[in-house]
Amino acid sequence: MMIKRRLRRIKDVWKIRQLKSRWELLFQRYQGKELVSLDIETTSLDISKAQILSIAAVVIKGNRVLSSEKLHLTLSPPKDLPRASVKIHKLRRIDLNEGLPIAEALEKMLKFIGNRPIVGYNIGYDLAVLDQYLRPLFDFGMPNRYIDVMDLYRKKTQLSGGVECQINLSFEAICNGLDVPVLGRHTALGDAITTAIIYVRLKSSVSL
Amino acid sequence: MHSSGAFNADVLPFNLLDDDEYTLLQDNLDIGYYEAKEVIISTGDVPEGLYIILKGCVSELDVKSADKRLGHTFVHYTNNDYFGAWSALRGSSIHDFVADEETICYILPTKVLLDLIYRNPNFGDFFNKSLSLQNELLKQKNDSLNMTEFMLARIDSSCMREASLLPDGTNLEEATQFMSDQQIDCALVQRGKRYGMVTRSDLLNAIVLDKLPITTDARVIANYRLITVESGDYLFNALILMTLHQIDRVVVMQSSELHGIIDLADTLSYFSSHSHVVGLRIERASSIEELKGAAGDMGKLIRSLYSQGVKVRFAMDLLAALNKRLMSKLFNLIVPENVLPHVCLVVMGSEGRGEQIVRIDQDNGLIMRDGLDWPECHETMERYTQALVGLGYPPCPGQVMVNNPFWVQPISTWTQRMRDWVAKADSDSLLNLAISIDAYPVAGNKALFKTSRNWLLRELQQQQRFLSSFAEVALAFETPLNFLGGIRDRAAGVDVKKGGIFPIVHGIRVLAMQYQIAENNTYKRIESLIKLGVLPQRLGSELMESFSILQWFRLAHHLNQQEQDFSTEDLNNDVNLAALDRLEKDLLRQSFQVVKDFKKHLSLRYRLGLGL
Repeated sequence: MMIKRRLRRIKDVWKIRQLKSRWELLFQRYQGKELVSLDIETTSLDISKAQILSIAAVVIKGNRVLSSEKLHLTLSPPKDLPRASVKIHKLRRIDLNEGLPIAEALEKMLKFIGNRPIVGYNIGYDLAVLDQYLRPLFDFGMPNRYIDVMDLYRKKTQLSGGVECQINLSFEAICNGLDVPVLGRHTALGDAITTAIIYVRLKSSVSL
Repeated sequence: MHSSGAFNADVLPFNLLDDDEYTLLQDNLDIGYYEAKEVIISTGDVPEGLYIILKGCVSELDVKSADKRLGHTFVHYTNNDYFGAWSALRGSSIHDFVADEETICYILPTKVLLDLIYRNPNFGDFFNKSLSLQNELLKQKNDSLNMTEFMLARIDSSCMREASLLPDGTNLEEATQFMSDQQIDCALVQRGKRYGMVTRSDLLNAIVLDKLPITTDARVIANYRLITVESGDYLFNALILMTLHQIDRVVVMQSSELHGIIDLADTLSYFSSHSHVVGLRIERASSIEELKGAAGDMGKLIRSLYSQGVKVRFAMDLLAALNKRLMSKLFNLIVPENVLPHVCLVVMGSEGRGEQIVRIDQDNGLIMRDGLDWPECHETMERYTQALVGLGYPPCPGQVMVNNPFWVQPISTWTQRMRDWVAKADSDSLLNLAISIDAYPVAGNKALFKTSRNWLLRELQQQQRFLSSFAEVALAFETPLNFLGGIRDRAAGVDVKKGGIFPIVHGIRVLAMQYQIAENNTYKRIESLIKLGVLPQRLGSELMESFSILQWFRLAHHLNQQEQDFSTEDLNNDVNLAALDRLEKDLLRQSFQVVKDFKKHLSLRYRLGLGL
């Protein structure tokens, strides 16, 4: 999937250059020191069926999670809102009634993130879902470089443990392992902030 | 509670904010991550704002020298605590703030903090409060070591000595040589899994007085009843132990591993106030006249503890330890030595629980061995009571004193009488029982007391009916809250004792009886009840906090009255609401609310009519 993404991105870049699109900036290499932690809540874990309910992002800078510099968007309700998913993210139809149309939300998100690298937990899923909505509307997929804290955590634990063994990579297990408090689990903003703290924690030199 | 935000706004002062202000706060918070030992704010820095700890631990240090061990730690902050407000508002920090362990903090920029302070006067008050405390700290900054930091010093390698272990089979000569070489005056020996201590004076006594050959195994003369503290505990607690047991050293353990030894001389170097000096004066006193001086010093000590903002619970522990020693010393001075093994002096009521700070009265009694023939008993006890009055312990208005023969009884009568009280359960009996349950032995033969207490705990446990009527006493006074949840003010003021302290003390006493908890102190009883799962954790912690707050108001009120030359009999518990600021009123109101919840808890548990 990763190779496919890269190929697509090269195609996207080429297209954008040709079109002199207003989004060209997004495809430039990022020079700064900030990252953006991203999380979305959806109706399903199946990428092809998933509809986006909310998007949240916070900026990371050095050992700081700039939770004051954040994006938290609720989208207008999808046609069907599976009962099972409501139980997890606790967003009812009524909570989504004031939400934004998907195109507007994506535009805001792209502008917020810019060309900064993205940090996320199992971020491949989030990006795949976002791509699905971006392509028809903007004609390109998520252009940013990205880091998955799951991979980072796996590498760190293997480095310190030395033994290749089964590591529990569930979100809660990682938080537990790193002694990071879980903030508002299954709200996009809570998860984005928690993920950001995990990232900062993993990047610090403290060994695990 | 505020909406789903991650920030915990249920704690002071953030629960003073309304929804809009909370949103403002939430929108401006950043999160910082710090590694252990990382300096978060250093002296002279302009801090970014207010730091609120999400997880971790931070020390506020005065770092004059590079050596962190010599830096005076002023305060430890932990989860949900905040720091840096004073520094932020003042412009620069006067101390270092260092992460003790990995720490995650919220950071609220100074500008937003100021906005909130201006918008919300309650919130502002709260910071002014803590600012005045910080100002206190600043004033003391250049003093040599002070009480506050002494209270906060923890037992770690910086204040303890390494424990030197003598190899098995070391004899007295070798042990003496060893200590002399190492320049130490005590060493440990090991017998099986137990450790024993040998001090230089033990060696001296063994060789000179007991004329033991110098080839004797040092393990023979060691003392195996060691008093221990846990590493990481407050140094202050070590001092309390030394004060209480009249010893010079305690052994530091860390989860049953031997860690080191704390010496009195070492603690003294941490320490400038007079508590131990008072203790020493008590110890050295050879006449009642000399005890008077020590007793007078205790009054000064209370004021200095109060003005330094020492936690009520610590102040209580310290004063209780000193009071007990003083009473014990006086008893030993007055009662003939040959009588001492046959009698036991107990203190009762608040003194027995170790919760009297300002001396309100003396409650004491004497348990004697059955069949003791001591004709001078009454006359001697009369002298004891009068001497205690002379030392500044006012007589008990209810005559619960050893000069009253009613409270001087042989052990069989003492226990039989308690049984009668349980059976009778009228108001006098219940009062007498409540007083005697909190008895604590201070002098004489403590085994006498233990026999009576164990009997009582066994006896009461099965008396559910009695416990019920006993518990009802806790509901005797109304909680001074009106139906809107505000404090009900009387012209005379609000009685914090009847309205709050008494219901907590008594309710907890009944629960402690039912679950056979041998502790006397209300805090310790609550802690045990939580551990046993009798009290929910939350209610238990709230009770301890409310109890501290109410006791603090009472102490402040008493000291204030003493300043106005009220005599002890005239001291009352009626706190004048008009003299309190908004925040103090709020604290008081919340404490009464907890008391009310606790009464409800008791009513349900013991099926009492809801007389709230």
